[in-house]
Amino acid sequence: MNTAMNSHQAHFIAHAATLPGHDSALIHASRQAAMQRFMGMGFPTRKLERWKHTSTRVIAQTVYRHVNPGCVGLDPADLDPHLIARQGIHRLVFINGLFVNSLSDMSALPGGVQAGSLARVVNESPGVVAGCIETFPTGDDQGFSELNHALWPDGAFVHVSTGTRLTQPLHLLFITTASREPMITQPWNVLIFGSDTHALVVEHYVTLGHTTHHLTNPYTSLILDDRAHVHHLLLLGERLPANHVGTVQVTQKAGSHLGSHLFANGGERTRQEVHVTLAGAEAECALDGLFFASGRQHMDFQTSMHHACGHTRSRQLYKGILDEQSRGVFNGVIRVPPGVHHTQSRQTTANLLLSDTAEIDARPQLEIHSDAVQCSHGATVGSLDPDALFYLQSRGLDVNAARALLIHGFAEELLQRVAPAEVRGWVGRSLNPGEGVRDEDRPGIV
Amino acid sequence: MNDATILSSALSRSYKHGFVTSIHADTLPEGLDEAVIQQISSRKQEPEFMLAWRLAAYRHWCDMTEPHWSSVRYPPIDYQGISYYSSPFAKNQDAVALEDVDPALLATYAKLGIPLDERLSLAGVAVDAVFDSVSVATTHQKKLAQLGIIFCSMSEAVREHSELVRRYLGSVVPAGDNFFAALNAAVFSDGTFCYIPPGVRCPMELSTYFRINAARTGQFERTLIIADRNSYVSYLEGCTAPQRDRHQLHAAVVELIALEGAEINYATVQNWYPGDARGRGGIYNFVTKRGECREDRARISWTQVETGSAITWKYPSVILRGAGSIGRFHSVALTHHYQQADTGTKMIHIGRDTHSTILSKGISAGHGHNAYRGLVKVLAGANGARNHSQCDSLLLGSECSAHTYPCIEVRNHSAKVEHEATTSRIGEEQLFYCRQRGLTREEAVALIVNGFCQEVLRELPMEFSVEARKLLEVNLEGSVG
Amino acid sequence: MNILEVRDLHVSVMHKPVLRGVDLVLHGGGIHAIMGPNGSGKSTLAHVLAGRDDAQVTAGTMLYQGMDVLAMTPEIRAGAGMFLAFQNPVEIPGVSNVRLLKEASNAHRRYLQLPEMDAMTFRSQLQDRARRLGLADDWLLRAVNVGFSGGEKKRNELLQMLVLEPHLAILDEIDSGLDIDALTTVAEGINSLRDAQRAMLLITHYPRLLDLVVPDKVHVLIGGRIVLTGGPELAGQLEARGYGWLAEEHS
Repeated sequence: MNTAMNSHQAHFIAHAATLPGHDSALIHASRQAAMQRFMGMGFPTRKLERWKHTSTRVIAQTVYRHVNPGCVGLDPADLDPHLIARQGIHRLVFINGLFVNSLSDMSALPGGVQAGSLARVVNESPGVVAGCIETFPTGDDQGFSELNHALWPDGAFVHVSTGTRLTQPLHLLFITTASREPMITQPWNVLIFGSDTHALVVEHYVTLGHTTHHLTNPYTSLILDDRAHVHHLLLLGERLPANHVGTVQVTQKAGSHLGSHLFANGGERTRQEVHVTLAGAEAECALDGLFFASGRQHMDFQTSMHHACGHTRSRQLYKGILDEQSRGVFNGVIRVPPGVHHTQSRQTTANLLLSDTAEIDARPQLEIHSDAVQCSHGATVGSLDPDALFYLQSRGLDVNAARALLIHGFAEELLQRVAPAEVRGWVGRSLNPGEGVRDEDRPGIV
Repeated sequence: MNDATILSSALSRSYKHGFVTSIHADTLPEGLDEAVIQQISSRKQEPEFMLAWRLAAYRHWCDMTEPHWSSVRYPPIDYQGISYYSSPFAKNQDAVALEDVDPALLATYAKLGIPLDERLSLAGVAVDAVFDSVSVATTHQKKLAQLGIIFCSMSEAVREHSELVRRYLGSVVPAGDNFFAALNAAVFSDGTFCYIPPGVRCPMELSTYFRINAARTGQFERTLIIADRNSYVSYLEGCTAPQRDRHQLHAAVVELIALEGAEINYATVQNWYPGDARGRGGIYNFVTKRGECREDRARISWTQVETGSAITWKYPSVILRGAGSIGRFHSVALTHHYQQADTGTKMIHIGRDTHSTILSKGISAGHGHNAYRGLVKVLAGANGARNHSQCDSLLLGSECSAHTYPCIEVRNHSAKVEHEATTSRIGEEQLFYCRQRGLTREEAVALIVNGFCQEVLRELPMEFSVEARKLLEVNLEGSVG
Repeated sequence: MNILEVRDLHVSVMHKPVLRGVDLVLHGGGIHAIMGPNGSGKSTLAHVLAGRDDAQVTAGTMLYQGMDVLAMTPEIRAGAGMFLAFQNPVEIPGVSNVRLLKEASNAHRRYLQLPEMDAMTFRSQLQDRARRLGLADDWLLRAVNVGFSGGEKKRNELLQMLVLEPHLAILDEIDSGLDIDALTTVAEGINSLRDAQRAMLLITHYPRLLDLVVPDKVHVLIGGRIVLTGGPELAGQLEARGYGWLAEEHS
């Protein structure tokens, strides 16, 4: 056990009596158990199969500040570059993991939709998160999510009740602000969609101002009830010194449909896990991911698709574009347990290496225990096709334009799956130069 | 006899190599320590350097722990409960003229379809027969010697060609490479050695036939093949063991070295005793196989048909060091009853313009468990490296499983790596179509499985291809629900 | 003896009645055509005769050469001489045409307690027949139906029929997807098997095949019942008038 771990434990001991849900036996027990498991396993190390390619050494040795500096001096106009639109979009804003009512806009939320601070909801009626606590993944590689479960101070709570259609996107904007010492933010987001609901939720991480090394460790629980139809966009666009280690846990019931769209271009070290359990017949899930890494960025994406019920379908497409000395990892598992029949799953990862020094590790895995399945995966790694480059050059494009066009073409497939067009355009712009890491010399991908 | 009758008779029989040869054997007591290693070395009249190498490996092994990262499951192995040496010959006598070999032993090989009398043997196949811990006979040696080809038992090579052995042994699989390789280096008792001189195309298939006979022994053979510049050799390996209700350990090491422009094709038809329908007995087949294309334009190809063993745990690999070298891996692994297979390959691209192909077909039936585990690694200097992998799994029944764990690591942007995998079962429509044409359900399954494996089976030399098809059919017996 | 005798056959697919009392009798040498609109149960009849188990016989009898077909597995029916040319033949990767044919033909010979044919004789006979159907020499080495065009698949079915020489051939839309030259070749193949010992059931949408292979009787199947039986001239009438008038009369 080291100083850093002790500091997390010390924070827990000091604040257990004031953290959200401290009055509730359920929440308190959950936090306590998570803290115990965290202290038992610590941060994951590269000896663990699913952490083979990502070192947590720096994180494990840093003493982070848990308290937040608040939003003192934050001008609402600072948010503008990160907004989908100034008006007409439902918006929850979090500064360093805490909900800020004054920057949020829920004025147009239709009846049947509840959205706001998880801390507040849990203090009033802790029972609403009981179902999510049951779905917390266990395992010795879950150190980061355990730390979140023990210490989360706030996060988004969204509940869309049966039959409600949310026609406008709901934007959850998580902002990390300038700080002088290492800081950790750990929101827990609980998104519950009742039967026959429709919604588009954008979970979005950005940085304002210049920060030192900080760690964002969010955990998002998504529950889709029967026939819920949900699109979840996850945009990881924090600035360079950021470390982002996030987990999304999805549970889908019968006939539900989830489109998960991940776009990542920020942060020094990004690790995102997406776990999906298809728990009802005719549940359908599409996991898409597009990541763009340059400089010395390290990005590691882990998906697991668990077909817990027959007659379920899943599809995954993750694409990586890696330039300079960046490193990318994709590790995806499809699991079909014994006795589960008539499932269809497909997993594909395609990766573009743009420089001699970029690296990619791809591990698409299948664990199939049932014979009545259709299951396949594919992985490719390559560079830009020289024939295509030459073709474009012969049509008059210079080499940079030709490269940009081909990279654009590679990425376009995933952007096209985002609807409506307004959001698609905004995602495209967010990934462009001006928002990202090193602004000038980075080729944009859109 | 045509295919269909082979099949119907095959379907009605079980493991046919399960008999035991009753023979007087010189067997060391169970257990392992430095004294045992000294005994093995002295029985084989080895030069000093070999004993030193073995002891170093043993000391290394003592510090290692048995790996458990694979998906196979088995109770702990008692390494002190195994005899590490069993020879059908009298003490201090491990090379004898064929006329002096115990007739029971010759009969054993005849029964297995491997006559050791050159007059009776298959045309164009030279055989080294390994019985428990030692090589009993090597055929066609004289004919091969005329071309400068050395084809002999490892024991003989250690004595007669110690310079070559010293130079190449452990150069691809170092003594401390992994737990089982270290154990093998310490105690290996025999195996096959083969050297093809520059520019020579070996005119016949070379083969080793492994037989485990004695109870409670482990088999730890070591094979070393060196193909010198611009030479060619095709090599076959076959394995059987008696039916016993205790698990037996087989921890072999195979090293291949291909120098400039040389080509080695290594084929295995592995039919160790798989255990019974309830999972009792059977061989633990924990093998390290690795080849190195050490110089430019070398080629190494692994082809394997794995139908036997209780547990198969092996990853025949190729280190593609020389520029323009080519590595290939073709595999069929069938698991039935309670068999487990965790197999695959590693292709390590070091040199520029190196190419590799992986084709893996896994078939699971009964409670069988089949895992493909592969690594394609392209290092920074491997400009123009190419890999294509295809892994298909076929599931027969609802209690079996198939896992696919490919791992792709690319450090060079001019590399192109493609991986495709599918998991499926035999379609009812295909079965009905075949039955409408008059085939029984079992025949239809065998036909479709054969079709599924076709691309791999055709990589095998003719004699082995026929044998492999028969084995697939035998091992599918009772798999059709 | 009748080759095929179907009495009051009722069949359901996934608990939905598809055939609702079909009677059909074929003698040696007889060729009957079954025509009818899509979804009338034609292919289900073919599948039931061949023993496909996703269709359930709920009532009625089927006798083939006096034997109760229902008691026979698909392969026993095949061995006894019943052949189905599939409407959509399945692909079997890795299994060559020659391999399947050799296995099938030896299975038939075993059923008849005949010695199996040696590979060379078999191969040469096969090549001969394949050439007559206009199939290229590499045909036999290609995997069964894999990558075949619709027309190639149909010719492949016919080749199998010529090799297996069945007593009852059920040809399910053997003419679909064929151009006129291919249709002529296929018709020649069918006619070459025509003799007093064999019977054939042609299932088709189009009368064109029936100009080339003239049937003794034409049955019209609508809504799972044979609503009209006539001579070969009925096919021409159906082409001129369609099925609408019959459907109305029997709805």
